[in-house]
Amino acid sequence: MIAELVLATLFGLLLLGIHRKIIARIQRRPGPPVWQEILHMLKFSFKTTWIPKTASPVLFVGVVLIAIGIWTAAFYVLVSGGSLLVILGIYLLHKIVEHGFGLSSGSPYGKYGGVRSVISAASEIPLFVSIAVIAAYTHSLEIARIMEYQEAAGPLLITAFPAAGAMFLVILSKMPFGPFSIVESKELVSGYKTEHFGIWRAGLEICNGLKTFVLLGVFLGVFIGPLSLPLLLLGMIVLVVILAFACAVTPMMSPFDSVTIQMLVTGGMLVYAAFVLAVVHP
Amino acid sequence: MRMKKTTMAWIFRAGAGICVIASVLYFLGMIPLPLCAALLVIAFPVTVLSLFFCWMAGVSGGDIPFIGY
Repeated sequence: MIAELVLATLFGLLLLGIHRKIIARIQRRPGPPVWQEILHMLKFSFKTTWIPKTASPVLFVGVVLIAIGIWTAAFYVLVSGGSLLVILGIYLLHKIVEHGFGLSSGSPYGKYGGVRSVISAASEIPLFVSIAVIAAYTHSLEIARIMEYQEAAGPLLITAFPAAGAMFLVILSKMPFGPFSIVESKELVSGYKTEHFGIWRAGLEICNGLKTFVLLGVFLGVFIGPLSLPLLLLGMIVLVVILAFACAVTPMMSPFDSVTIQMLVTGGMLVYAAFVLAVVHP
Repeated sequence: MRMKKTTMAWIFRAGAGICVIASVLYFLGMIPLPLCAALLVIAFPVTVLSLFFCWMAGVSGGDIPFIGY
């Protein structure tokens, strides 16, 4: 199990590297090699590290451990075909962790990044509605049951396409350099990550790799169905390519525009969910 | 707070040991997945950070990585 966890982390980092490379090529830049994020993680792990004088030491260190811990838990929920609600809970917990990263540092950039991560919790609301639609179709919130349903009835990507679109938007909001990546906007230096450097940042990179793997894995499991490992990995790469195109051709929005669009999507999803509950599966 | 390479190495060994033992016990069917996952959720972050601290620390001069001004 530890081997799968380590490989998933490395593959997640590789996916983030592919994401960066594709964005660069679309923007006519050479871009870094695809394994750059793995090198980043290793590079940071060799840097001199300390805790800033203004930081809360316990929170500053603890939040890195929690960040890796919660996505380790999410990985095992995915592997065991557990509840989608637990994934949702971990997703929301990640927001609190991002906030903790920012607040613990004592840096104004980190604090603004933390505040923006709370604002961007609006991006999770379409996820709630997506889950409601999935439950209406499959009568279950267990990932394993949802995959069984799709084996019999076909992928939810087709039958519940708007729900897949909403969840795609949620994943897009978590990808770096995306239109909704307001927590990492450059006017905040590195946002909530600004003061977490060296080994702390290496830990955060591990969290990001694992988070990317889990989010893409959940999307494929919930909207495509059961896949063999090669197809799962291929599906993740295809998703990352699509996400990279979306990130490359759209500018980063201002925080209020980002929240407004996500709330509009939520409104549309609520209408769709009402339609599904009233007409398709009354 | 100061940490020594040897301390970090011991924490790493303990964490990695828990991760490997939990994985092996699960593989042999001696513990259920939730217990294995719970052990890894606790041990994996500690293992990773202690590994980084361990290979960052020097043997001469002591007390590297330097934590705090």
